[in-house]
Amino acid sequence: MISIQLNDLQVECEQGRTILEVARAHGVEIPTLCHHPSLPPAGLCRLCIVEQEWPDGERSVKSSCTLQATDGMKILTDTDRVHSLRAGVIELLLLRAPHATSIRDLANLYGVEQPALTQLQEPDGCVLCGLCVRTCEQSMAREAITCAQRSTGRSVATAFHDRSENCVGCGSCVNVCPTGVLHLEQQDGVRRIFWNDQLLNETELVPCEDCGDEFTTRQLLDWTAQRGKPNAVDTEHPVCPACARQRQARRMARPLARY
Amino acid sequence: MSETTTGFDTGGIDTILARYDGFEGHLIGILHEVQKLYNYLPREALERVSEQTGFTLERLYSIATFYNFFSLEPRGKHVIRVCTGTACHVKGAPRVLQEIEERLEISSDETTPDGQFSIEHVHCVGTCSLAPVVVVDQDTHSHVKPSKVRALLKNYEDKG
Repeated sequence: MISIQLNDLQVECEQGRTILEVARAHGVEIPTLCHHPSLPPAGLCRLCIVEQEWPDGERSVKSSCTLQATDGMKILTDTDRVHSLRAGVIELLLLRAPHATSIRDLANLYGVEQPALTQLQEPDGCVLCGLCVRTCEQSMAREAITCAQRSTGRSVATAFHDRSENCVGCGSCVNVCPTGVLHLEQQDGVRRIFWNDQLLNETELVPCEDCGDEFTTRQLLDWTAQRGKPNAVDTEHPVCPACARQRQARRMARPLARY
Repeated sequence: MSETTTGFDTGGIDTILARYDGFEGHLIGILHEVQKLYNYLPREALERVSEQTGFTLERLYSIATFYNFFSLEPRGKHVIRVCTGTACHVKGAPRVLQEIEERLEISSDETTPDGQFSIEHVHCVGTCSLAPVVVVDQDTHSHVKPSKVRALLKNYEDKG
């Protein structure tokens, strides 16, 4: 265990923890957009910046999601400088996603009103946090979406802006998207995932054998079976997690019924 | 010779890939060679590379759109790169670019219908003392004036 100073708190933590993890464990608020506990830190959104104070009193700005705690470190998460730098980041994000609730909430929190900068292009509503791309690649091992182009033209896209055969319709990208620019529709046994108006792919919904709820897609079932995940759903007889629990409970109750 | 269902000849790509011992870390080199073969990166070519290397088409698309050098559109036989960096801009590059565009009747990043010329604008080629600079294929033309553009293009038209 090592000891660090977090604002006025003296806290202990394990070696190798990031400042963001330590702060959240102790109830210290740090906003993030590109962070997800199940993914490695990316340091992309710059919202989680904090100040590190050195023994000589000098302070430097660091992104807390990538900064590892070391013994005796002194971190300030709520200084005027941190506040104004975060406000600057939010102002830029607001230009990209003026309608996203998450961004508007942040803007309210940090007192950002109308951005002072002029909009050069129509905002597509995406803040390029990369969560969807990283989730698809690192959690699902699929790479159905990617970041295309660069600089001001950078955007989340499939290859050639066409439907992606690599998309299994798991919907993870929709779940992690902080702006809602990724969304899904389910109709007549088909799941469609969209990035704005662009269709990523159409997948076939599969109903649960017990309750009939369309809880997954054929492509996702096949992919989890192929990956050999220990809790993979039976592809021949798919049962949704809630019904699977009930089946398990019934199996456990059966021997008791004899008494 | 191998072909895809659409009749696209992939033999050249397979020859390129056969020279590589493992593909991890060589993707950009492979795409360089494929682009040299077709003068751009056709979709069918990327699909073949994806199929043979196991890299997703999305990964290849991401790389191909990130680097300026790669083009997903067919390019002309001669690629005209007009420098629009600071020095060239001050010395009149915008007028040179406009003259070239008017003469070829295409805009920057386009190709003439006969497939002879493409125009690209680049940001500084590192020879500011020669400004304004126009690089055609491998030749660097210095101190280009709008009045010199006609002769410059003629030079390449004659080469066919």
